[in-house]
Amino acid sequence: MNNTDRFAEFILPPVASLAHRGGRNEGLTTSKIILKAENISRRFRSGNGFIDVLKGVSLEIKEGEILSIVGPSGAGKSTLLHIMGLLDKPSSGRTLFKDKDLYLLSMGEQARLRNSSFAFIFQFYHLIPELNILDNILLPYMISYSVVGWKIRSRVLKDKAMSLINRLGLEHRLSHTPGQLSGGEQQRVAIARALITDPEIIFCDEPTGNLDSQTTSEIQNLIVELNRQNGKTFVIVTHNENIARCSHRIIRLVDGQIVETK
Amino acid sequence: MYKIFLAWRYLLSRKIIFLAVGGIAVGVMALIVVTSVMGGFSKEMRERIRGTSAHLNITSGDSYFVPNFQKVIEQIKSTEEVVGYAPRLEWGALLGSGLNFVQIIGIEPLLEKNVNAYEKYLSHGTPLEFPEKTWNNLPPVIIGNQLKYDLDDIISLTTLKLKSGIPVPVRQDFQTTGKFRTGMFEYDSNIYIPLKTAQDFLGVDEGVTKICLTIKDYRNVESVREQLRQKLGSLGYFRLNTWEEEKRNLLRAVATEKNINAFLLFFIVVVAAFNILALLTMRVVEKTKDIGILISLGARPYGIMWLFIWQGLLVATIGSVIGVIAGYTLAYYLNPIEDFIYHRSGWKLFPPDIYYLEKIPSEINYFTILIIVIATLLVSLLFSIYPALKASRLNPVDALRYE
Ligand SMILES: Nc1ncnc2c1ncn2[C@@H]1O[C@H](COP(=O)(O)OP(=O)(O)O)[C@@H](O)[C@H]1O
Ligand SMILES: [Mg+2]
Repeated sequence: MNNTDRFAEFILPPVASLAHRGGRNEGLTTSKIILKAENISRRFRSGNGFIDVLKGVSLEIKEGEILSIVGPSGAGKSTLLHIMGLLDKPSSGRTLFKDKDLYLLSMGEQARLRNSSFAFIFQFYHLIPELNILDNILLPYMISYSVVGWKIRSRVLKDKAMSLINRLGLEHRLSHTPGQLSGGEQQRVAIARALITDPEIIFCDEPTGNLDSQTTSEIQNLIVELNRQNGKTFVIVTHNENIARCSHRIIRLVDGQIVETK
Repeated sequence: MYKIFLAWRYLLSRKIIFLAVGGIAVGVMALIVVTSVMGGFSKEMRERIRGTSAHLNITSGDSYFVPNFQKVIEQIKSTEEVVGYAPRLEWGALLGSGLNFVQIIGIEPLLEKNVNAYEKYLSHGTPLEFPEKTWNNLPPVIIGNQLKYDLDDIISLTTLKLKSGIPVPVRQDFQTTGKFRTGMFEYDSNIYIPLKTAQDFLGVDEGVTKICLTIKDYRNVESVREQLRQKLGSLGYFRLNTWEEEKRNLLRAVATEKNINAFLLFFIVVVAAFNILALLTMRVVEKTKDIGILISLGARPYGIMWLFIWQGLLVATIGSVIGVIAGYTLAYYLNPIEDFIYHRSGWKLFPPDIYYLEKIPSEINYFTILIIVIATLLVSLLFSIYPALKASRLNPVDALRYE
């Protein structure tokens, strides 16, 4: 039994609801829009001039879909992802999450969304090197709970993390620190950390960009399973053809503009 | 709850932290030891100053001598709170043949011992009372141990006595029958003479310059003073001073010295806290990527700020705890430690003949320790704020790009 199978077992919804889910575009039963970017522009200061990295990008993300964003390096894919995920602000345009304008929210509300509604998976995993695997995965909860709140819930939360760890096949790595793990294992820890708060959208920035082909397909299967079986929404910036092929829609970004949607 | 937790983990991951902790510990330790010694020293000095002066002192407001001496004594005796009194005749004189100025004090030893530590200061073998007769049939004197005379030496004193308002020089020989030592340079070149002898010497039969009083409870000194002022009002113009008023300058000098030392030493702590500033500034750069990660996971700038402030505070707290333990122990066992060093190396840290102290005075004051710890934490907090603010203002995207 490989790791992805084990993970599937963990999040397996009732069989009946799965029956019709399968290949591309199947399983996306609703077309409810969860996040909507409207005419996003982003200008960076560069030397003594400006560069316009995004030039009026509009797109919609539907609940339960995998949306791939592809395009040449420097096209502005990461920048777009950061703006949609509340890590950066657009120079103009707005982003609506469930009909709320993200950049009109207070700093606290934005932080809360980053904590529990959005999740990021990065190319370089971005784990905290001083913390062991378990603590890295629990970090989003440590951030959102007060000391007292944490004391009360830590048992339940640790159990939740342990199930994730077991299903991802990381149980023998529990007390290891990220530095002692392979790239693929680290990325699985990052995925566990992204999943633990049950986010509504998971933004992935070249999640397999740093992995060999074997691990790449493992991670890719994991993402597809999470989407197909658990209805998780993914927005993935990728160069990987296979991941793109598994997604419901692909957006091609070139020079800060969407040139193709399919 | 990630702030303290992560701050702690960050600290444990770097050995260089021990330098900062050690710096704080050394500073706190030094402050505790020095303030303890200074406290003990100043308490000792205060006790000595107190030992040479009485609770309340009555002098004349407009002449050398206390007017209506007998009536004043009667009034004093009828004052309930006054438990001891002693008349004194304080005068200046030249000792020997040179210009060696000394203070001569006429006293009645049996009364004097009730108003100050006179009896305690007498050297071993010196009786409390002056002897009836001396070897040479000269009047007896007891001299301070700063004066270079031995027992049974004959000393000659020259002074001016007032004859119908005009000063006339007189000279007389005395015999040393005892010695005393207060440990205060200012007092240890005085000469005690029996009151009657002094009055004869100066030709003032009932003249005293001062009446010293002991009050049952010194806290009531103000009400006793007021009571006496009323009673003595009709007998003349008097000055009534407490010992603290009389020795104000001396007491202030001791207190000032203590505070200046503590203040100077606090700079050790400031320098140590500066280590924290340097350390945290370095950590913010090192942890730039982590800051980006934490923000992407929902941390707020305010939380990031506290993450770094906690690191500074943890260093300061651990350093303070170590410093307090080490400082307390050192201050507590100062004398055994000094003995040990002396026996091992023959080096006397604190030569007893300088301050007349048999041992190093050490008075550990818990309130002072508390102040030291609070001040240390505050300074460390202050020095943590700048790097913490810098960390909290990082842009998460830039931070995540940082490699
Ligand atoms: N903070 C910044 N300041 C200046 N230029 C930036 C900044 N962030 C990104 N850029 C520029 O924006 C362009 C797009 O970057 P990015 O969104 O990372 O592209 P992609 O992810 O598609 O490769 C690049 O040319 C990059 O140099
Ligand atoms: Mg990119």
